Amino acid sequence: MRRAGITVNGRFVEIDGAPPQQTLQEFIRGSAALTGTAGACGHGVCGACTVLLDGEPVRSCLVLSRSTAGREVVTVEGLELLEPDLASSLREAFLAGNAFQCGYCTSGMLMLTFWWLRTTPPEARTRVDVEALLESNLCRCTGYTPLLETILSFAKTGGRGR
Amino acid sequence: MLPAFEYAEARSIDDALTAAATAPSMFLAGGQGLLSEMARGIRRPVRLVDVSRIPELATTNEEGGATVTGSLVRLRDVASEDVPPALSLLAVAAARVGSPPIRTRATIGGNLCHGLGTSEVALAALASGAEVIVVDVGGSRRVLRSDELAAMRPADDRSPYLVLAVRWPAPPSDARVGVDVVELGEQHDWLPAVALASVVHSVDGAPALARTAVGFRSGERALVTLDEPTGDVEAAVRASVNGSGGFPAGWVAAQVADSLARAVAQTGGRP
Repeated sequence: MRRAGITVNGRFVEIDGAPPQQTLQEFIRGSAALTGTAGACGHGVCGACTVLLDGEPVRSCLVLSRSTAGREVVTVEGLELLEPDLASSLREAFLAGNAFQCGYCTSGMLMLTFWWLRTTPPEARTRVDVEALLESNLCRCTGYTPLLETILSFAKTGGRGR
Repeated sequence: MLPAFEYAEARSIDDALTAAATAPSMFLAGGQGLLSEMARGIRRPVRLVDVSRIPELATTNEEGGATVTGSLVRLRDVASEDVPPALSLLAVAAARVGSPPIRTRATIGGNLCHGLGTSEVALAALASGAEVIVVDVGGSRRVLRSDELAAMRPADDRSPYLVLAVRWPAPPSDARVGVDVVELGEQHDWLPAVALASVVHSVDGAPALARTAVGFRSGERALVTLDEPTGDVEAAVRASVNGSGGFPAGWVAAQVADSLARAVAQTGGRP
């Protein structure tokens, strides 16, 4: 009988033995040993722990690992598995645009932006939409202006949409 | 890590009720409200019964002119312009909940049960005249009374019932529908102090229905019904909103009037 687990970045990681109260964020950083997903507020407000669950963004601190058995998770370390060119060019754009200060929120911002670029056609990418997108996640350094300008610029010039 | 609790995964409604019968339990759907409250120490249930994988709770059907949404239908799926007319107000309300990552997981049933008085889905249900269908832990199915719908948040760390579905009545086929949702006084946790959800029907240019549900963070919810959108709003508010959540009734009336005016404008009428 196959043991219960979660596929993280294409790798099956067993979940058996995890305590019921373990969150997906704790599972990713502990059992899957992937520390790119940050833990911050722990109650769903800041978005630093955003990952893709079956292709959609979730706050991994508000998902129980056991509720996720049998499903697929992609973290910031695995974006290249989905779209290598988009993942690497988005990272480069963040770097070139100084779209972070301390970097704590960066993985969550990258996950959110990556999902948005993949699901939003280029003609629908407006400044208002990016402003609304950034309301999802907190940057405690308040570096929202470079984030906004970087994401908007990239969305118009480099980010492909489906 | 969250505080310790027992965990039971249910694959059917019967499974869920059986698991909930043997310990003080709360039902876990999307978890966006409940787990957040557990992380902050507001809730400490003995047992979580995970109902998120019960397929029959995740469907949407048309029944007798109404649209019936299962309690596990995700807010992301109804926060859209492409919904049946019966869900017009729900669509706008759902889009105001949290952010995209929250709406990915959040469910109709979860928002109804774990939202504060300002729960967007609860206010949309009140204003739309929707019926919330539940099953008690003992197995009895029923429709919530209007006073229960106005106060669904569990008083203690035990779910009194499992929400099965919400039945949203369709507007008359010849009616033009206007809706409005507004949230005021955002607090430190981004949740509002006051929220309003309004729906207006207009038939042949004449108002046929004007309703606003008002909710306060403190927990109170009320339904304000007017014969016409330009009626005596303050009198209607004073008659239906008990205590106004600490806000002056005149101020609440002004918000209701503004919300109705925006809804009326969508019907082509004059605010």
